[in-house]
Amino acid sequence: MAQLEIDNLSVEFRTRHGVVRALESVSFSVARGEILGVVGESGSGKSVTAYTVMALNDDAAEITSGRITMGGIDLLAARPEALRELRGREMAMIFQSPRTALNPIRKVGKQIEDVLQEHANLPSRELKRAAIEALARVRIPDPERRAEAYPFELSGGMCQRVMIAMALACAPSVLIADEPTTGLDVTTQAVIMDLIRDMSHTARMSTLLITHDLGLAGEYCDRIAVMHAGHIVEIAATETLLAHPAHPYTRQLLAATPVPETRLDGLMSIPGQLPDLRKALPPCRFSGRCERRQPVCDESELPWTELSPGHVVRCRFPL
Amino acid sequence: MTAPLLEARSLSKFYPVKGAARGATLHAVDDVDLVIGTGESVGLVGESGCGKSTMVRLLGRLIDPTAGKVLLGGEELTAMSQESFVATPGRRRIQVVFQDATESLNPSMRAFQAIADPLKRLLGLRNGPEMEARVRATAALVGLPDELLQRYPHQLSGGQRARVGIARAVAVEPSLLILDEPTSALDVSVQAVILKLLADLRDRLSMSYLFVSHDLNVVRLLCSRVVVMYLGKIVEIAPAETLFTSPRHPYSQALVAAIPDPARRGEARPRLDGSPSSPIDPEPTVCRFYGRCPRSEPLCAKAMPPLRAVGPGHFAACHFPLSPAGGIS
Repeated sequence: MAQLEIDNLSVEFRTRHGVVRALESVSFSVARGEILGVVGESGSGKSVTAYTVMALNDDAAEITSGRITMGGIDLLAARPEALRELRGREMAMIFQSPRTALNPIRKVGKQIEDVLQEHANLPSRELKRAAIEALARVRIPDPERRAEAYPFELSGGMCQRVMIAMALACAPSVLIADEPTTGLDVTTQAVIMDLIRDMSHTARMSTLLITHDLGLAGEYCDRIAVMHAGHIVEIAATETLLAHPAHPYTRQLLAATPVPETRLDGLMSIPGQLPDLRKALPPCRFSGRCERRQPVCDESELPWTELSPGHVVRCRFPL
Repeated sequence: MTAPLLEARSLSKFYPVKGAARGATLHAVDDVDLVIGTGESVGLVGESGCGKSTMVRLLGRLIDPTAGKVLLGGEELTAMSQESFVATPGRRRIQVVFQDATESLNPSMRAFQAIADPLKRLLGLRNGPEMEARVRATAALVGLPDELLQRYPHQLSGGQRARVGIARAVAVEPSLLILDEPTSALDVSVQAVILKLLADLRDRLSMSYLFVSHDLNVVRLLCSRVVVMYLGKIVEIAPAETLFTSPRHPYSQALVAAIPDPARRGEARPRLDGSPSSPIDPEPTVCRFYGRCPRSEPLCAKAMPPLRAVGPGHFAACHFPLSPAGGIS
């Protein structure tokens, strides 16, 4: 059963320069213990999706349609107090830049204690021990000493581990990781991603991994959803998506991503740019960049096609 | 290798550490030798803090070394200070393309002025028809349409800004182009175009490249040789394909194994835990990788391993290099 379910979600931002239709009819679900990757270029709506699930969007954002449920609870209908209780205990988020997400003037051990105090039923004398255990779980060497450190005393990779320790402290059932390793070294990235994968699989945690790196998603995710200009264009099991991409955009994204076998002649760019999300848009927001475009693409509503069980694509002329 | 273009000899850069014990120094780059051949593309990889950026500044002659020499075409560039070097004809021969064009372009200069600026400063060109022609020719070379030349950086897309940054550097026809993470701020769709542009420019203008990147898949596309740095030292130099298929230094092995690769999903691979030891006054007789290295033998704590040949054009600084993949050690 799906732990996190997003159904027909649309989000708009009201700005001085017009209404930006950032998400339109986004639907996907994440099962228990599953890692779902959401990939796409900047501006595709990946982070807006993550922030909307966590109800962290700013006031300019308006949810114009859709439902988000977690473990059967309707998140959009939940009262703010109920939501605050869920965030931190049942659902946690890892942000892109750990240094700006951590409190710079509070010791990292204390910051984890704060989360535990708020969300876990622990007597206060046990908070410190629990915080050190949380740091040890993410394999921070010498956790007793590191608990006493301020964020600026730790490396970027170490700060990210503290963030993960904090996110996992209350054993959430849903983890949202927004580019958790962007800006970290590949060696650190590998250790952090191994950790997230192990936690997802052993603790049956549902993980939404937001990333621009299709190679990273390909290695760590069970399924991948591809986003373009606020639409999800394709969802499939990772092996299927990589071997048999059906949406022209997915195929182009794959051809543009260097992997160890790629040669420069084989590397493709994606012509055109994301459409302006403030303007009137055709049903398929990729049609302006698509080589398979037909007049019908810009005329009638775009159907979801199921090519095989679990492999869905939003294209009239899939590959 | 072709005739050497750039040579670094025993190059070091130390920084005094503020607030630490008296005389404490940070060894950003420590006794490094490196040769880049004419027309050759060399990749420089390593973790943050390994000395890559200091190497960019040293070889780009943007800072003065603490010790050692930099030679370009046999001529010593480090004989004079960086300030005097700026005024010499040599300055135009080494150019740097910086990481994020959004940050490195002057926000109040239109694209045209940004490209004209180095022509003024380094070639002494004045505004006029010749300048106009030169800027337009350079813009055409990097695929920047004429009508974008009157725009400010914020009116350009990420890919267009990257092109302006490259145009600035190649306008003065350098013989060495140092590229510091030139595509890390770009989406993959744009990255592919810029990488192809760089390969094309290298062939057309017969430049040498020093390509610094944390993305090893990108380095592999453009470079024939790769240099791996760890804590201020070069630990391995190898032909690009060899480094990826058969690294000999345990650090390079971990670096290559860390590249995300969907083809190796779920496969257990060597992981490098912990973080590098301190670059402040490191023990000169202890291998920098000691303690983090899975091998860490007693000898590694007694003698710093020098770079030694382990194959054709292949050098590793390790007392116990890994056996070549598929071969006999």
